Amino acid sequence: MDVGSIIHIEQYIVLLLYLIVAVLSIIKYPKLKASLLRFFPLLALFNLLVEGGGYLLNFVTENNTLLYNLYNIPYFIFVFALFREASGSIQIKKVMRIFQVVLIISFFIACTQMDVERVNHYPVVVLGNVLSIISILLYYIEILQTDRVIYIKYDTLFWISLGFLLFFIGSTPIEIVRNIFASKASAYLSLGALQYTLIIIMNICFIVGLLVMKPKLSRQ
Amino acid sequence: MLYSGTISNETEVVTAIIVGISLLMALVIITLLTVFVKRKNKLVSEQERAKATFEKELAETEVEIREATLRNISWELHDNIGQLLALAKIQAQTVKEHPERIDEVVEIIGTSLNELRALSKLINPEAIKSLTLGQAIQLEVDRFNRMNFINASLVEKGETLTIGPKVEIILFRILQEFFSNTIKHSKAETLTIIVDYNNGLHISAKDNGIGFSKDIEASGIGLSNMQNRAKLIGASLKIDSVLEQGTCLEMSIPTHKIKTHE
Repeated sequence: MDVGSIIHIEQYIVLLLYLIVAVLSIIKYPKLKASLLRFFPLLALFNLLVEGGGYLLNFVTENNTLLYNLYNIPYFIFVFALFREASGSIQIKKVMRIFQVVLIISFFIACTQMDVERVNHYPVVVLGNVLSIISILLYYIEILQTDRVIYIKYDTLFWISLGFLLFFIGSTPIEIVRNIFASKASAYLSLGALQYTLIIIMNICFIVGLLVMKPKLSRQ
Repeated sequence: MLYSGTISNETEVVTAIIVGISLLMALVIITLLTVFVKRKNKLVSEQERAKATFEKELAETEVEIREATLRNISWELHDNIGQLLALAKIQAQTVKEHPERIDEVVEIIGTSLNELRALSKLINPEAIKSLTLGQAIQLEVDRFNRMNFINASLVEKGETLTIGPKVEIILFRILQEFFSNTIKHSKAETLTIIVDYNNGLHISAKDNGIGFSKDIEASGIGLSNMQNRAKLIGASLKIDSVLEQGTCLEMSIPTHKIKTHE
């Protein structure tokens, strides 16, 4: 089986997993609504729509770059907002707000330097990934100081953060290298297959978090 | 992002990147697992130690309450029932000359019997366990008034909350220790206790005695013991004393801590 076939299979798996996460988060909404994750079903639906829309656009116009360039902004803003709400520290909350502003500014700078419709804004993605990794590590440092760590395996936010962390750590070098090898189809596709694998791992973490959730822990 | 096209051979760089990312992910997972498991184990062992300390303190508290109860029974038998029966004996000796006094003798013996019955209830462990905190304090208040130790009163405010038995024992012992200090050292005439169940449990006990200075507080008349016990059940305890004006104990425990340690 060649990488192209693997990517096609992974595309369907990714779409299916996004659908499962969206459905599961809607089913679990009564438990999520009192927690920090009350907007998570919206993100799950948003991801599903963008991924489905991206697939269709690529099929019809062979170009979905604009969609993904625009998608990055609300996506990262949600991640920073999530960890801002999860933090009990005023300083960390301030840092998360700064991250949001920095990301928006970087998007506008990228728009002036790169064609938003045709060129992937990978510097914005890399910056968003790095800032998200910092946000998640700050969240981990904070929970390690409390006794929440004892019941961490039942904490949905922990599983979601783990999914994000693994995805951002893995996809950051991919984003950089993929642009260096953009002209080489083989390299481009191999890295694409790896990125799909990371999305699959991230969604599996989301699903595990939604299945094992204990409302009392997620409410904190 | 979606990808399309055909594939030829993998480049060495891409292979290196894939291997690198896989190793990085494995490293992240192992590091996270190690840090979280280590921290969890540390917290669990700390909790176990705290639980053991709590159980030890609870056992000591129960022994102290038992000892205090026995001491109180001894006083009651000697100073109260003993006195009544001695009086009845003297009265009975004069019955031959004054037959009309037989009613008084019967009344005194009846009172003694009632006191004995009340006392036997206190000794019964099942009866003690079934008491609420308010009832247990009321028994102490009644005893102080009956023995003329001090003029004591209890006021309960709000709807009575169910308190976990272990928390109840510790709270009662802290109060018992404060009452004991009041009676032994304060020379107070009145002792007012308020138990307020609104927004958690708030207990205040105030006497109008001679108070004590901070030096005495430092040397300790069971105050640090009371503080430690309050801390064990997550209660806050404050003791304020003003020389020649009296001493006041303020103790609060939040609602979510009231039923813990059951």
